[in-house]
Amino acid sequence: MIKLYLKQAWQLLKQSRLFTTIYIVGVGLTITMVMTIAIIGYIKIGNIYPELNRDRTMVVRYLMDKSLDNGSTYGSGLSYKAVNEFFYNLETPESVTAITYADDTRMFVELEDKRLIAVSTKGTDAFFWNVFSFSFLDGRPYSVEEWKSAIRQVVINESLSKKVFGTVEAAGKNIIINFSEYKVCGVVKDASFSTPVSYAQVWFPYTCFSNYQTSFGEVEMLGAMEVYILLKNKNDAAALYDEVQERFHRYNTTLEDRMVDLVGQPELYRKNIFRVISNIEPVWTDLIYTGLLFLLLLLLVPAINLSGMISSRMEKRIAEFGIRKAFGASQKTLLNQILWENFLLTCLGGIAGLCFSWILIIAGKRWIINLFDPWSEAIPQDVSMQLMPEMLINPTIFMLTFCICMLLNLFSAIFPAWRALKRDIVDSLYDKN
Amino acid sequence: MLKQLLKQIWIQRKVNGWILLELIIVSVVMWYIIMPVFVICYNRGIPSGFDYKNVYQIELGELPSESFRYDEKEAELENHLANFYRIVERIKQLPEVELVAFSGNNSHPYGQSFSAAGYTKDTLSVQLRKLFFIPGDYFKVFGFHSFYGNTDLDDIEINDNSIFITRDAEKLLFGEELAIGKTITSSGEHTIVGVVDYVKMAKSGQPTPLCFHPVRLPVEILIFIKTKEGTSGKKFINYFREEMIGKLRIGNLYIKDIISGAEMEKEAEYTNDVTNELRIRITVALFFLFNIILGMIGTFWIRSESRRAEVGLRMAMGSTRLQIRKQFLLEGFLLTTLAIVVSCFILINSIRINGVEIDQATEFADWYLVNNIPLLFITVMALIYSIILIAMTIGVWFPATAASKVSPIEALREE
Repeated sequence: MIKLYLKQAWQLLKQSRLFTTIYIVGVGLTITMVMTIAIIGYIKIGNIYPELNRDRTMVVRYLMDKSLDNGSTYGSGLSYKAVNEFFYNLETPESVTAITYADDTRMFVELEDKRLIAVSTKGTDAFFWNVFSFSFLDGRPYSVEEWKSAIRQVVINESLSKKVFGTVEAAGKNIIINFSEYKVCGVVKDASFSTPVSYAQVWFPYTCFSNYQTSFGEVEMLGAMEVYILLKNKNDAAALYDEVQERFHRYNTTLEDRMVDLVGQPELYRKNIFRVISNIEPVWTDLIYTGLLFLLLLLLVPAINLSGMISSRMEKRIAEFGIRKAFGASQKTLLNQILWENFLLTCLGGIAGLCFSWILIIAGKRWIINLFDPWSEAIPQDVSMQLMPEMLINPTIFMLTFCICMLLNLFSAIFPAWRALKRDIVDSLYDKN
Repeated sequence: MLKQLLKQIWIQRKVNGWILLELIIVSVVMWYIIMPVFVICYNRGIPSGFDYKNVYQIELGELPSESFRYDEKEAELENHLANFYRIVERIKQLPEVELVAFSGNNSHPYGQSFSAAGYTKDTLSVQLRKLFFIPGDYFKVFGFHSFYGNTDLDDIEINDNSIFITRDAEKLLFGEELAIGKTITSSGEHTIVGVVDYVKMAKSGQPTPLCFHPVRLPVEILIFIKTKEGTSGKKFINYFREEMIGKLRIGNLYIKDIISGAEMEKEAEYTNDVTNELRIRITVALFFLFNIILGMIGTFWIRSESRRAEVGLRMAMGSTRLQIRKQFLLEGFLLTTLAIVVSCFILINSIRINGVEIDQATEFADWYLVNNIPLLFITVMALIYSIILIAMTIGVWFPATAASKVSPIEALREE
């Protein structure tokens, strides 16, 4: 039956070229808008190399040190002391890593001809390489022992290795960073700047930074580190939350007039990116309502458009429906047919729209990916925002496109179709069009 | 004529209803989308009060203590300062460089952070943003100019307690009186020695009341240079990046980075969320407009087909093709006007109840159009009205042309 509907729809589609074109362009535009946003969202929270376990990663990026006397507060990242005493020895998770932005943000690598190039860097521990799934092209990561004893070794990425040494086989060679000598212990496959938590061109054991133990605040819990916790499995989130909260709770009872507040963390990675201000937990109901309202508007305006067009087409086909009804077709059958016919058109528009949103994202990758980030920054000139195919082409994206098409189709076709079918048979047959 | 058109619209209400509904929704939504864009564009048109043309900010770095090139002796304050002056001297010697100035850390226009304090005159207290500078060519490099006459601000004699304030700060503190020579207090007394013209600290914002404090080294400072008129900015910055950054090193100090005024502006607009906001809002606005065009084409095309008989009859009765086209356009025009009137009614009620939130505006500066809400509303709605009219015309034009090409004989025979 559906096959017959689609066949008929195809014929209709060929008959009225103009209607088809306007309809497909209208749908395509809508799908382009919605899917561009959806793909950006996917790049932000999907499991993407090297952050392949984002769905079971939990985050603590911020602590507040509060005085119970006068209510004054300090807020910042975590200190080494906090990470060491409260996080490295957690029992629930598979692995825990701390990343620091301390030391210098803009560092220089000296090339052979004495030229200097600026690189982006991160200080990590050895567990970083468990939590994030980098693939090593050469060498290996620094081990726990090496990290603990602050051996001056670094991991660099593929493109930097090519720039400095002309090859990716750079393990064991020396590199001069910020006027100090380091040994390269591994080279990893390039990642994209769109995975900002793990992105760097050079990774150091943070023990090499002279100031890694620096802390501030009265209880020495505040510093410049962020903690990422890899769970054994997704369902452990609540257990981990309880374990961490319990530890801090116990610690707070030993303090007299202060408390250290986790402001709702640890939380899942996908929740954390919605924090606009680090010490305020987003109001989820508000966020969801605004999001839905925005989506509704994006769908509603084109849907009204399409409804108008469908309803005038229905007028023309009133006679046809009259005959069908006279021969015993039920309302439901006819409604089904109209919806299927339209669905064909909507899907064509959907495919066009999805393709167009791919083009848009590829062409505008340097600014589009960060379009919705609060306090975003222009991407540094020397950094590549490369996209990988799996960011754009994956089952989630296809399913989402399909669902949005269904929704749009339902919004736009159901009301005009219902109104046309409600007409009396005699009336419909009499209609001279 | 008008009555006839309204009748036509009413008769065709089934099809017109859809497009009218769409027009109303879009013009209501457009207010919320376009208004902030309008405010930003308006603010950008306000003179900035300084000039970053040919201006560059230079950042110095210090070798890490673990570096094999680190020299402990050079880290002593005396040597450190001497090295600093030597580096500045080297920069000054570049043929392209005209002037060098020192600004206190994070207190220049487009800077990423700022400090402010309350300043009092008698009992009146006003919040002013603080800018720190080392006397020299500071005002010349930044292009800040005096509000009163052609005084060269750098030539005014000052001591540690002197300050400069901007014109809006003067207005807030002294009304229409002249502030020069008077004293204000904020952790100590300060004598005002000059009044600077309005200064915008952000490109898309409005002027902020400021005060300028002279300071002495050693404090954390940033180096700003102004290159000579006619220097190619691109060439200079490339040369500087190749030859100076990381290479010019004296003691433990080295040149770490250079940013041009234009780059600072771009960076600041990003971090203030203006760039992304403009991009999102303009895209969404274009999306809705495009939908209106599509909707108009769709509605009027279908209409022109079902109205072939009417058009044929009209032409038989002596209407010219131009008149037919005009009629279609007038119908579209009436629909748009109707939609705008309805949406104005909805919006005025919504604004009455919820108020309007305008970022990037300062309340006291009521001499700017965007700070006056009724005026802002009228301007923006007029803008929206004309934009939608343009979209409507594009959308109606093709079907109207097609309809006017109908042969009256065929159309009447079909009937």
